[in-house]
Amino acid sequence: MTIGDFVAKAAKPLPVIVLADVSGSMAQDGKIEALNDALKSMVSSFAEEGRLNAEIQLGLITFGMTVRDHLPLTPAHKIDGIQRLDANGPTPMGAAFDRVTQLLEDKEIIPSRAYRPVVILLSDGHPTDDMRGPFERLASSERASKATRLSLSIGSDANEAVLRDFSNDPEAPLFFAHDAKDIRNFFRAVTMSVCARSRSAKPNSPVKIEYRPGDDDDDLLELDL
Amino acid sequence: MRRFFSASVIGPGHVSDGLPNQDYQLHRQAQHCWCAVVCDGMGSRPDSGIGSREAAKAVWASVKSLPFDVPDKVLVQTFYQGWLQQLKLLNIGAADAVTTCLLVWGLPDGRFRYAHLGDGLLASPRGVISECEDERFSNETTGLGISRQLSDWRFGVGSLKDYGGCLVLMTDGISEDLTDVSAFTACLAGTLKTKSYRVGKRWLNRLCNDWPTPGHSDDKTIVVVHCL
Repeated sequence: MTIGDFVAKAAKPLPVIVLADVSGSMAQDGKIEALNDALKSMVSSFAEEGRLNAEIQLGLITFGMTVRDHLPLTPAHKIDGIQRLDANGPTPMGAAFDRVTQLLEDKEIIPSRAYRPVVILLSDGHPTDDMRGPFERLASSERASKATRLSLSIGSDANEAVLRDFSNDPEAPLFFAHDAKDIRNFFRAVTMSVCARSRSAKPNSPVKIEYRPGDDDDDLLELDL
Repeated sequence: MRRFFSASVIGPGHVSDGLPNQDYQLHRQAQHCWCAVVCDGMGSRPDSGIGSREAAKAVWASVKSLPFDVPDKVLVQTFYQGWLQQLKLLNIGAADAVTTCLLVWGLPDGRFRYAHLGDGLLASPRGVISECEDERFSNETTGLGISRQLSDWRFGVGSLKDYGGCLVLMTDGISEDLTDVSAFTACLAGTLKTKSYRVGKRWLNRLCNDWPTPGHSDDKTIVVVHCL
């Protein structure tokens, strides 16, 4: 045994956890299809990212008919693919908050050497369970409260107050998606921001999210300016 | 008799940003006591490199002049105030010079006491002696210039012979990447035991410069107190 055998061989993790509303209303207007496409692109971009300064890990918690770990937190380069999401059922956002709090507090899954996690909530509706208590637990618990929280309000029926409270990034109190296309735009912007963080010498520092709702995929030149 | 081996190297992240090493280490022996200190200046503060240097110096200046059984509070107050006064002379605000502080203060017979604020690690081949509370993520810490409470500190006492004759003080650039603290420390102690001061120091420097964790970016500082 040499001394190097007792030193980590992987870069520090940068966990990204998506909390996705997959209630019945997400089946309308192509939203669930857009979310499936956006997640697929996100996985593929994260997987291509070098792991020099940080190893991006992705987890997906869905809330609809049930709350489940659709994708347990996994290094992006090891994700084979994400099973497509189906939309049905109510919006148990409170139970999803409890699940993400549990995950963020688990030092076996997210060790202390990890960079500050990013939690992304997206929803197009109103919570159908009690979410106040779970949210307070998330926002006040020792470790979970330190995660960067972003939220995306989809369409006009989303509960903006809840989503605005969820976000703790003063630069980005709440993002809006007017249609399915904007879900893709938002995920593209978040992906670029996370990748920039992972390449940075200081992956804990926030990187601005350059989200432009209304952008058209076909019109983008995809220049890294 | 004790030997001290130490290394403090600038992290690749600071090299690429054109920043100096913000860690500082110091070890001293006098007739009546010895002392080892590692300090890690908070990267986001402009003068944290000076803060870490002055903190280590303030610790040594204080322990030299204090009785070994001084209460923890008096110990901390003495060098904290010394640090603040020195920063004032340098015209630097404490908030611009935030630094962690881990000190071990010992007697010739091997008894020691420690005080620890912020991240970093004190360990021996027997295991962890003092570490930062675990409710955090990487690069989040407190330090001199932020902390105002004694309860932010961790204190303890011991004897070198109860810890395998070896103590290792590290900043988080090293400690956060360890997968097995006891094994790492035992391996370190075993390797250095056979080396001269000069060769041992070179070996430690090489270990820190060629750190095996991909993407490591922090400054790395280590002091090994070795009982002969």
